Amino acid sequence: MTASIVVENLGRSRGGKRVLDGVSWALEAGQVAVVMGRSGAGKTTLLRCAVGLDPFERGRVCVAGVEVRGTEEVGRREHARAQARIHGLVGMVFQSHELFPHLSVLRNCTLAPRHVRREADDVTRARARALLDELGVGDKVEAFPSALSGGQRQRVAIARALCMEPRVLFYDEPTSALDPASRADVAGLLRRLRGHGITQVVVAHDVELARAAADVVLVVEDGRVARMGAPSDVLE
Amino acid sequence: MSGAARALLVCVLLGAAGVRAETPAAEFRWGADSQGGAPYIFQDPMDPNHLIGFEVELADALAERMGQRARPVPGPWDRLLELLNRGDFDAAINGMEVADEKLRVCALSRPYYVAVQRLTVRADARDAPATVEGLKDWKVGTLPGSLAERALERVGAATRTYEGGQDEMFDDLRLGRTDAVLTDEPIAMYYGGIDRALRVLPGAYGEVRYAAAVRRDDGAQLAAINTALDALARDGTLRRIYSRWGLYNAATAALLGDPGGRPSGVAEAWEAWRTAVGTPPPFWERLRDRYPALLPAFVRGAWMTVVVSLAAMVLAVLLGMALALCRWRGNRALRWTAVAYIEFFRGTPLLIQLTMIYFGLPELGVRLDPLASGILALGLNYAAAEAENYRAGLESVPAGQAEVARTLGFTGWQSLRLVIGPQALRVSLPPSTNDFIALLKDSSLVSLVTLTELTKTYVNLANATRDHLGLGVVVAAAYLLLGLPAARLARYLEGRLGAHLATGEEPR
Repeated sequence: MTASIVVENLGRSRGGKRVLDGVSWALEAGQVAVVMGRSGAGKTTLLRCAVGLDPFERGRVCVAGVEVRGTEEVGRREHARAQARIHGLVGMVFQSHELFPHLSVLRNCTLAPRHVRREADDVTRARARALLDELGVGDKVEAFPSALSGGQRQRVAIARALCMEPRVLFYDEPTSALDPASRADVAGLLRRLRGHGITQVVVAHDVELARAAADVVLVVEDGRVARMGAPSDVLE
Repeated sequence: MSGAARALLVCVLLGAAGVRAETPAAEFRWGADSQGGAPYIFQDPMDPNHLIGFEVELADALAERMGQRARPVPGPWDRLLELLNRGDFDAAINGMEVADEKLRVCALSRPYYVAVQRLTVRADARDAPATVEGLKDWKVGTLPGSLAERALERVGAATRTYEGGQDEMFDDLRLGRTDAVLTDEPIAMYYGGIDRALRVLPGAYGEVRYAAAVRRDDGAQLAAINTALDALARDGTLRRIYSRWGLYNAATAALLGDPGGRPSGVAEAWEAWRTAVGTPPPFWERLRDRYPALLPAFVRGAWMTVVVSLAAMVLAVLLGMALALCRWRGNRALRWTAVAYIEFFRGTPLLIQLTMIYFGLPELGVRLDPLASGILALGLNYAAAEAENYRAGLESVPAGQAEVARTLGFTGWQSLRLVIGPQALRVSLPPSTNDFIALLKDSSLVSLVTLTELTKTYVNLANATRDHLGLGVVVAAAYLLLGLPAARLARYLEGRLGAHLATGEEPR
């Protein structure tokens, strides 16, 4: 199997402090990685650099053959351009979900395919409906985000990201904003999507989630990958 | 500035240039302030769609002599010479007093009328002084920029001047806010003389001569007016006009070379005025019998108000959006330019901005049409307020919304148009609606630049008919009617943009 995402020697400094210091890892298609670590260890920064929301100075991120190299190597402008190319290939589910409040669930999902990929309306609608059904919120297509529960919003956010058919889907703390019942569903959800061959990277504190769903666990400490491997090895 | 805003500005300027280009020489454009009132130039109380007055008849007679057609151009009385020098009309004929300092800014024709100055007091007043000097420490009302004002200041009277119109001067006297009014006899006669609570004293407190003002470099116009005035004096036209208005006096007779001359015929215009404004009928009767005839004048005024306000708002919205974007996401230079613009236009009075655009820009060779100046001044001013409304809206949208739009692959413009903008608009809409209604009212300032909109129409009519309260109710209703559709539209849009907050279901 080929790697669907490669992160190599990633380095980022802020205010003279190294937030990421030579982080390297790779995932094969369909794998689920859970990134763990204490607050301030650099998990979220790693995620934001990998999806192209924050710039980084050193190393590279490569998704499906599209490469982003650090600003020290290629300069800020080229770095930003490469990050914009990555945006179409990665999806992101935010902790606060960030659904578009002024649009219905269906239009939340179809907006990007219609305007970014310029797909026909009926094609995007059909795909969105199928994904929303698959994720168990098919009856909410006409509702606005304000009418949904936390768990439902998360599923809509996942459907919205998947509508763009990303190679890798990132989650920032997917269980932290949910009640215990919905939290238990998240592991099942990750496994179900893995069944469809979607590579997933989850930043989480939740050890139970890592045990239940991860193929690989990364533990980040002080901006470095301290441990990496199968959950049974790393979490002992 | 966005492309659309620039296009609009160009259209406005071109439109203005187009209007300016066609001023047929067959017209004799004369400037006057119809707000100034009777008996000079005012709206006929019996048929307010017509301007009447002894100077209207004088200008018509002059134009006829010169083989032209007279067209009055309205402007504030104390700005007439500036408007004249801007080229807005060919001559100012509106009780312009002959005085040396005027000759520095314009040329004056031979005098056409001599007015003595009269003191009006309350009917029950005693021991009124017989000379101006005796008015020291008296509270005296008069017109701003008049010779009477200067005389009063010289003797140390507590002078009050009135921009609004003659009526207010005499109202204040009647209500005891002042002790006397010192004005030219025609004004004293037409406003003080018809009021039983007031008394016009017989003594003369001075004398002024009226002349037409023309531009100093317009010798041909000056000569034509002087020749025509000579002819009108010789053939008795002037005497007939003044007599009709009850204004023919000994000093004017001497001026016209008719010493000992007596008025010709009856003063029918003066009688008509007395009958029309003597005692106004009750409000309901006026509403039924008089106001319907005023409707066309109000509709014309309202139309001007709407045109100016809408065009200015379009300019303000487009420019405001561009400014808000510069301030929100622009580089340092754009940000500071936007901040400087907003602070300047928000922090200085609209009146000054309008004055600078209309009277100041010609010094730099930019001469805008009145309509374009009004729209530009209002639009530039309100753009500052709109920019802040939009910025508040943009900043109210959580940063995560822009980030999620980025990860979905939207360009900056798509993110603004599809994600941030619609959410920001909902926040900006209520204050923008307020601004539009405020603009609707502020548009009354364009009367400064010779445009007759709703407020100016009201002031003119109220001065001509001495009916401030009744017409005030009518004009207030007109403003409410104009503002109402904007408020309704805003509520509807707010409802649509905020549908997700109300029901959780998409509007159909």
